Amino acid sequence: MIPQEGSGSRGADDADYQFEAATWAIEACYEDLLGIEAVSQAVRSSYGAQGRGADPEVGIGGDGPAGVLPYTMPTRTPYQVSVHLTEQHPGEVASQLDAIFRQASGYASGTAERLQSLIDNVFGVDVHAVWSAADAQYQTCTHLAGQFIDNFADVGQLMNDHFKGETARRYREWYDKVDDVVNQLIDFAGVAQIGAAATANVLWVAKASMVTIGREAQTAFETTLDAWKQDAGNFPFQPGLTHQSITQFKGLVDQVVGYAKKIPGVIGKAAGAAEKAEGIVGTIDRLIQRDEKNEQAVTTIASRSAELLASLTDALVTKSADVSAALDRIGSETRPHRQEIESRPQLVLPVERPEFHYA
Amino acid sequence: MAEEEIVAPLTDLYRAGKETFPRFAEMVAKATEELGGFYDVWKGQLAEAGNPPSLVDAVAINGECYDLLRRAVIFINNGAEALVHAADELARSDSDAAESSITLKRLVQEPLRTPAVPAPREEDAA
Repeated sequence: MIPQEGSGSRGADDADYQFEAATWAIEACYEDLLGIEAVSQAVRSSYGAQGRGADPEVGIGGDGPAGVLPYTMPTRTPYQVSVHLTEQHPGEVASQLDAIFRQASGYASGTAERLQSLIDNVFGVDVHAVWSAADAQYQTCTHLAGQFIDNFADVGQLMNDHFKGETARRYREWYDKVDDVVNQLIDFAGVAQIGAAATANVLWVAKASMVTIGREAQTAFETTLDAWKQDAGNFPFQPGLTHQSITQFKGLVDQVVGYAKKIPGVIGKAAGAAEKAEGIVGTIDRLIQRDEKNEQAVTTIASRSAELLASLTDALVTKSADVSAALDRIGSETRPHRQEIESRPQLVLPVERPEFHYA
Repeated sequence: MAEEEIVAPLTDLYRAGKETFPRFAEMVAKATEELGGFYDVWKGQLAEAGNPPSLVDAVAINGECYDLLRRAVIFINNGAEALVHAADELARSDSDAAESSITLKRLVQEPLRTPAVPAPREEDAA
């Protein structure tokens, strides 16, 4: 698996850019969802909730005790709902609802950055640079090993022929030392190269998974937002999902499960890591099953959003932990070699000049 | 006949000391510099990746390889000097031999050029 250079917003790669974009989209949806929920609650509690399905064309004074206010929900893509007023001051009501929306949506601030921080051992890492350096180190070591054999052996033969006695012994010792040390160091460099390349592979697979999780969560939030927007005719809806919303979520769950099933095999091949297809998928699935079993289950926009966020958080934390575990396992393979190279005095060549004499 | 025999090893000695060994030292120096570059790249991503043991070890091993290969460059340069010293001794003992070949004359007069030894790592130099 060879990471490709991308155009990440943090100088890393395209996967970071895609995940970052997903988290910002999630934050935007979450802001809208919290705003819609707050406005709904305000309308239900303060302005009356008796006019569900009313015709906004009727306008103030046309229906209900004091009329119907067509209110434009200030979401990123605004849409209209009907507010049945118990009092006459539609201008004030609209501005009050706008303020309530803004205040509630403000609670979503920082969501994107928090999500990014949950997987910060993957997000922002320049995996391509790590992998490229590992690949180049392989080339360097291979080249040096080949040159060593070709050039140095010839000189060794020459010296064996023309150095005699003590000088010959000194030369052979000298030659054996540098031959042995350089070859061993090439091997050690190979271990470092494998460790770094394996690290890059794990991170690369994790990045792909991170993007999938982020995108699926983004879709879940966008679907949630769409469900409530499409249900605008029932505003201010009683807490809970419509049948239409449940159907949409079921389709989404099937899609997410399909993705998640592919993930374990991929990362398993790369690092032997066991992937959990839980998190967002399991939580949404349980949510749907619960809704299907009990149509009276109370699911507000806020609780739905919170559950989605919790699911996403679980998925990212699990992913981050899986990456750490995989890199720990790779580290357990490289650690003995590190300890070996750090504790072998014979690898430290002397800096004094040898004495050779022609005999 | 005796003169020819001694010219051949003298030439080979000078070639080994002034060409082959420096060329090999140059290769090791180049590989050392490259390993140092890869070390920097990996080290630069350590914090971003949360210091995973696999990359921490790769950085540490490369750092050690850099230091030890750097000494190998010094070691090979010293070997080149020792060979040239042995060849100079031989040339001085038989000036006729040293003067009898144009190739040898060039090798004798040519200064020994060993490659620059890669700089110590910053953390070692500090």
